[in-house]
Amino acid sequence: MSEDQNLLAGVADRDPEVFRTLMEGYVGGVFNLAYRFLGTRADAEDIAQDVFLRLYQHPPSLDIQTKLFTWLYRVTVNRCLDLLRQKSRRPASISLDAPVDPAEMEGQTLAERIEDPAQRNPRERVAQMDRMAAVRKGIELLPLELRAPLILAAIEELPHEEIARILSLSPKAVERRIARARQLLKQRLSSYL
Amino acid sequence: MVDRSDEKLDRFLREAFPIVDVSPDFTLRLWRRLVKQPIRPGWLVPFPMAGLAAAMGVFAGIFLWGHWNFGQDPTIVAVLRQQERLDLFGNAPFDTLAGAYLTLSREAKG
Repeated sequence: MSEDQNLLAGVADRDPEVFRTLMEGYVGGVFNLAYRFLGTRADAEDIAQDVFLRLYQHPPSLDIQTKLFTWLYRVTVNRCLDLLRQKSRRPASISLDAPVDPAEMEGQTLAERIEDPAQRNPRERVAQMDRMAAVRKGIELLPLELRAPLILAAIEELPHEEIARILSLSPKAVERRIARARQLLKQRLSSYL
Repeated sequence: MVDRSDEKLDRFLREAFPIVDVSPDFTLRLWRRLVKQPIRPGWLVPFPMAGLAAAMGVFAGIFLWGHWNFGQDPTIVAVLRQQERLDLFGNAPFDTLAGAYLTLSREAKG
């Protein structure tokens, strides 16, 4: 029995200590993956909560070769893609009260950021923010079937075989999609490269 | 050989998506949701669904019972014909609706 299977057996037995250990081990990865897909903290946390809720209520029965990490990432990616498809059918909106970039400015709203005069190295900072926004926009404009493998490869730095298992694709298909995604992204970001 | 633009792209991607920590109250909110949603066995259907299924079963039962019974003997005439049997004295039995009808109709004819 693998370590993951032991942990899942503990979850199935409703052992809160095992679930807590498991959650602490994986919550960062699941949340960051969702955040990279969705771009907002609130959505990413909702997805991470749903994933762990599902894990607790219906723990999967994994074979010895499948890692729990793969299952968690697969569920997270699928939930993110579902949410993005739902959102693409609704009109987009920007709130002045929503945090712009939680990683960079925790809790700071767009309104506060516009008004903030005390930025260090303002020119450099603006250039960096501009580049980050362009990269995010470039990722956002990629088709979903290209976005998922690129995020998992370039940002999460997972090997292609693992990405293939997460996305239920062949390693060759993953390679092709990553190459296509990089090509499209390079075209869009040509002025920065 | 890795293109310089590939290296830059990877760097920009990591820069645009840094590691982010979850909110401090993430675990607390998750536990609250776990407590609010008790584990429900798969076989236990929600009460409204069980009620709906029971009601549908009752209606289906009544319909099929009627269908099969009237299928064997579909008209009221046939029911009357079945009941048209005379007693030892040549009278139709009066204790059934059909018998009473036959008796009364004969008396009316004189």
